[in-house]
Amino acid sequence: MNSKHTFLFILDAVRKDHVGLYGYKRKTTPNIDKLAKKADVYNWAFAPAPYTLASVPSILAGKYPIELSNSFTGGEFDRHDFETLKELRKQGYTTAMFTANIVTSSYKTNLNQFFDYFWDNLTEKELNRPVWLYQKAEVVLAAVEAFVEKHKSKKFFVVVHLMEAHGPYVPKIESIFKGDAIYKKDKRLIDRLVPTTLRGVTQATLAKYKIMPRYQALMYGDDYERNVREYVAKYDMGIYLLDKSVGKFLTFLQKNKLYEPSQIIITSDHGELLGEENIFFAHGVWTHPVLTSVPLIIKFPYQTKKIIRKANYSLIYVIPKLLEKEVDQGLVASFYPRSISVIIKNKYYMFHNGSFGENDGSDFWPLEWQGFARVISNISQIKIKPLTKVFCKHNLVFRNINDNQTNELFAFVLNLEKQMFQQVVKKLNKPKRSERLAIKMFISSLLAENQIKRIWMFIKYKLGSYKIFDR
Amino acid sequence: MDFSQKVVKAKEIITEAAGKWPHDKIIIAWTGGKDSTVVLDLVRQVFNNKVPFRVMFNDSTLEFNEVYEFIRKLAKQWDLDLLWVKHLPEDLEAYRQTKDKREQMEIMRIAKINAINYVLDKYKIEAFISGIRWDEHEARSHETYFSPRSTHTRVHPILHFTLDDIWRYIKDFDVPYVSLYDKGYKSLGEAPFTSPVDDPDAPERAGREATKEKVMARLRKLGYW
Repeated sequence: MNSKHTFLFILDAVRKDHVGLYGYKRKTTPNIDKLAKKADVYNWAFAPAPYTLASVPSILAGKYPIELSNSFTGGEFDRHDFETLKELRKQGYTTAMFTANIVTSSYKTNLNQFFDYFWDNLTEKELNRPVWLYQKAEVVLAAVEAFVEKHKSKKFFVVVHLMEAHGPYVPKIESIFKGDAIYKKDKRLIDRLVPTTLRGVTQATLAKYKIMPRYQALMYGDDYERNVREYVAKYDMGIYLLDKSVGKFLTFLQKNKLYEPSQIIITSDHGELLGEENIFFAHGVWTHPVLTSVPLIIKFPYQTKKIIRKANYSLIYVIPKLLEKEVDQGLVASFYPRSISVIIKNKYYMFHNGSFGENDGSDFWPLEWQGFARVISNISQIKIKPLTKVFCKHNLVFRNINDNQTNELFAFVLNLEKQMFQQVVKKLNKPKRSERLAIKMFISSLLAENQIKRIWMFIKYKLGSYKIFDR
Repeated sequence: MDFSQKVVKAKEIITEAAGKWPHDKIIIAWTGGKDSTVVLDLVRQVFNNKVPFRVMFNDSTLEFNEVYEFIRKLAKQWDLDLLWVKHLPEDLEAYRQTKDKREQMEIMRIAKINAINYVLDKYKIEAFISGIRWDEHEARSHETYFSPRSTHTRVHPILHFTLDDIWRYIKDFDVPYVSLYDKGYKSLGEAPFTSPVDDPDAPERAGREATKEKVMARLRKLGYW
């Protein structure tokens, strides 16, 4: 049955493995867990990018970030970017977005121009960066409730982007998880603060120190909270508060007899590094699996059973799939619609870019936007072979690759990265340092299509006879 | 509390700290500035002109030459067990990589914190004595004499001293100080971010770079310590 209303909740920075229904030991998400008992639960859903600026527009557009007109630099989108939203309108939806995040607000983007109704009344100041405004979930959802009550005779598609799990994690609120078994067991301390930009962080740094960016730090004058467990407890508290707000909203829908006929989608735009590679409480650095593997729960109208979806699933599919149900045709917005991964012994491996130095292999990838425009305009002249559609017909999952082959695969991927980088640098003819860093970022963000390309090349040249599971 | 009572109180805090922790687990933060030099002198008064704890000088490599000279001279004169700690190379490299003043200041701020924690970890320090004062900055107005942190306790013997008390102490007890104070500097930060102040009635930290000051106020205002 077609849904009357659709609610897409994007819970910013929520890691899949910190959500109760995915096996987390802390009860962070009782309400979402309850919803998931009669919903489709995706075990391997992937965000299209490891940071909001690229990920959310990509999800809304049904395209990978590289396919958007502004090349995920935060500039304005053009009218062709969000064909998905246009299509929703054609299907009779009133589209609305409510955001608590400045990155998806009209302060930073023109996303507001693509919705019938857009709400971004941001009044809270971030702890260490007060110019970065946000809003509490309870305030956002009160606005959503008001919207629903006013427009409930219409059919609407509502996006709700909430921020409690984004750092600094609910700094003013004590965590209910403080002092529990997980808390007591965690004795780790942060060794070093690093600049918010991660400037100066190298692989050598990460080999020695547990680092965190300053914008996350709970400061005590000229000192800061170093206990990892304090931050993790607060992060989980953020997820708990998100769940509580979502739960309250679901009750509101039930009271208004809107819960059953609605499609409710709950996901995240990216995860959060909680110690992987010795980086604590950051994201957007590169495409680490914990940053791109996200929760995804879809409750269809009048659904009565839980269905576990084990196939890889990109979030750029969410809206096209909704439309597919509406128009009963295989509408896919993206040229590259499939997601990609490697699963070894039930563990997920993503083909992230790792790191490679300009000279000595020790350089890390700070976020660096300066010089981006020139790089983008120049890089487009370079013939980096586009994917052919034949690669995109397959959703490739390899199983049972042994460790040696995995290492070989990663080495192969890193080498390709390096070649690409050198090719671009040569073309730009002595680019500035900022431009070199921007090139790295750019290459880093050629995520999905390059992963497919790399893996395909690897199969072709390295693994040869390995079996490909085509889903 | 009159001046003499304030001095007695400061000595009591130092004595209490010395009784609470082994002396090799205590360290004094010395910037070369007037406040931390007063703390050193108070410790010397308590321990018969000796300083029985390690003393840490956190060297950003950007301090004034007068500060370096003062540190060297007084460390020798007072026979201090001085740990001269340069900022960690990674932080100095990050500083060199940027020309953005706001980011440079952020890096200097965290470099100072990183260097302190490096020493605290290396020597397994349990008590860190510093010369912050309630009236020095709004952000410090809620501090306590003994303030527990993630790995250690901060000890603040002169929290209750005013700026006038500091200068009175320096004069009464003939405590040496960096000559820059006689040239209009009210408070000594890193050289690139600190300048002399013409107005004698200006706030104590008026010569410090404003961004850093705003950050401190903002952080305190939000009430996390």
